[in-house]
Amino acid sequence: MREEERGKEQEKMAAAGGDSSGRGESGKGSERGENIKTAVQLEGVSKRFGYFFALKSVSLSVKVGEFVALLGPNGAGKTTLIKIIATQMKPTAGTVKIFGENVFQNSSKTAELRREIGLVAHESFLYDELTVRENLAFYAKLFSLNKARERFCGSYESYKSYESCEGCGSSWEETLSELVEFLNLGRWLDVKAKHLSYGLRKRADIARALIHRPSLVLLDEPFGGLDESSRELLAEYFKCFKGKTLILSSHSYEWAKRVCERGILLERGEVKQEICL
Amino acid sequence: MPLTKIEKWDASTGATTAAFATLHTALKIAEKDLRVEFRRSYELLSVLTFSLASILVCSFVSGASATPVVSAAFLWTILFFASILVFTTSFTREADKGTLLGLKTIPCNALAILLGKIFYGAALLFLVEIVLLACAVVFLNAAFRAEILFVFFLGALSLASAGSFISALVMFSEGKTLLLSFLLFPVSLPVLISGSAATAKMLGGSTLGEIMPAIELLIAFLLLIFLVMSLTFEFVIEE
Repeated sequence: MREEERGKEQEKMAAAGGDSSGRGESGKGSERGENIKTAVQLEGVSKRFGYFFALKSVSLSVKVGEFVALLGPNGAGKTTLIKIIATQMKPTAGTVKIFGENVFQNSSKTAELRREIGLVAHESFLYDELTVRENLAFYAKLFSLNKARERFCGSYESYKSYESCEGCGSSWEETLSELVEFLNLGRWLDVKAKHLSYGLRKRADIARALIHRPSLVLLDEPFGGLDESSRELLAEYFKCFKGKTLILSSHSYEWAKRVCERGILLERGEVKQEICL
Repeated sequence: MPLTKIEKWDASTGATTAAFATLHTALKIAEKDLRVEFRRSYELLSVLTFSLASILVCSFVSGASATPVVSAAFLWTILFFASILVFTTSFTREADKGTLLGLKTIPCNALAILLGKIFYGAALLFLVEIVLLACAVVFLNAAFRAEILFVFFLGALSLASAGSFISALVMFSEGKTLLLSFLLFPVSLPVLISGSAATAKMLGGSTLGEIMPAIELLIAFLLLIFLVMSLTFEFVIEE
């Protein structure tokens, strides 16, 4: 019975953008499958803040569809690494490739790559004065959701059509309602973000990060500050991201193990060990 | 060899689409900022209260006999201080709450974020200008002319450009409020000089053609600051 329920949940998530083989993304998945095998590749990446090296010549590779955990104590460089992969921070040295594209080489290409990345950071990206629905709509429109989908349908004609892509699947409102149902946010959609509890805000933030159906999901300490039941709930959500590439950072080996297949242990900005979780 | 998704995208987009996407993003950010601003109403109300109180004090000093030059000087001095109040929170609020990182995840040129803030700032300043002008007509006996709104619009856009850019420059530094006021004055001097001169002449009965040099200076300032912003903003927004 439990397996059956999980199967249904996974189907629902696939429809909401969790599975690249899902509706509206089949082209994307197969195309990537044929051309690109590596989602993230870092070579000799270092980051220095003044005299302090947050990362020292980090090299790692994450395959498409892989779930990887960045493990390590506070100050190990997990957040810096996530920010660099999310194209939010330029490394001092080294190269970063996302889906085979060299990030930071060309700013317009870097901007375009951001369509493929969903980031849940320490800080919430939600605006306190806006409701959850308004926040999600704001980000969905900024990612011009349907415009992104047009590329996969090969029907790019005019920029204006971003708000209604005929014959290209669902609108962002549909994605929103699917995510809201999956993350159980329905009751809080019209509540201002400032009135949400920490756990609810985290869930709304995850919906925000997934609203544009990214292929690469980056989660910075997603379990931090949550109670056991919320952690359980989130771990279950993340397991349903099959088809996407997921990188999460965590202090907790136990929780990382619940979601990821591989762990990369960071210590003082260096990769110490790769672990099979 | 099949093209990857990103190569396909590059082939189908041009500079026009990129510019349009930047403008679209900027407008969405400005819309969001205005919505947040009106919901937090106390900040907007404090700017409007300051402007109203200032013009009342000016009217007590000059009475109803203020010359166009004096009225223009009052209006632009108040507008300058109101702009400090507006731009103190413009980028700082985003940086402090962490939402700036969210804006940086948007698949668009970094300049779109700045343009969004400029549109938002210009809209607020224009609102303040309209309130100020109405008060000037009532309390300073200033002669209202519709063309003056054009000067105010250009002035608001110029001040918003300078203010937003400086707000972004100082957002990660300590003492940002002090820095903003120190930096905004010298940078916005061309706007204040040409804006107040144009307003004084307009209030004195000059036509739009007669104040063209001042308008040209405002437009030149806008072009120059836009050039500086487009060349440097990507580095400014880096933490």
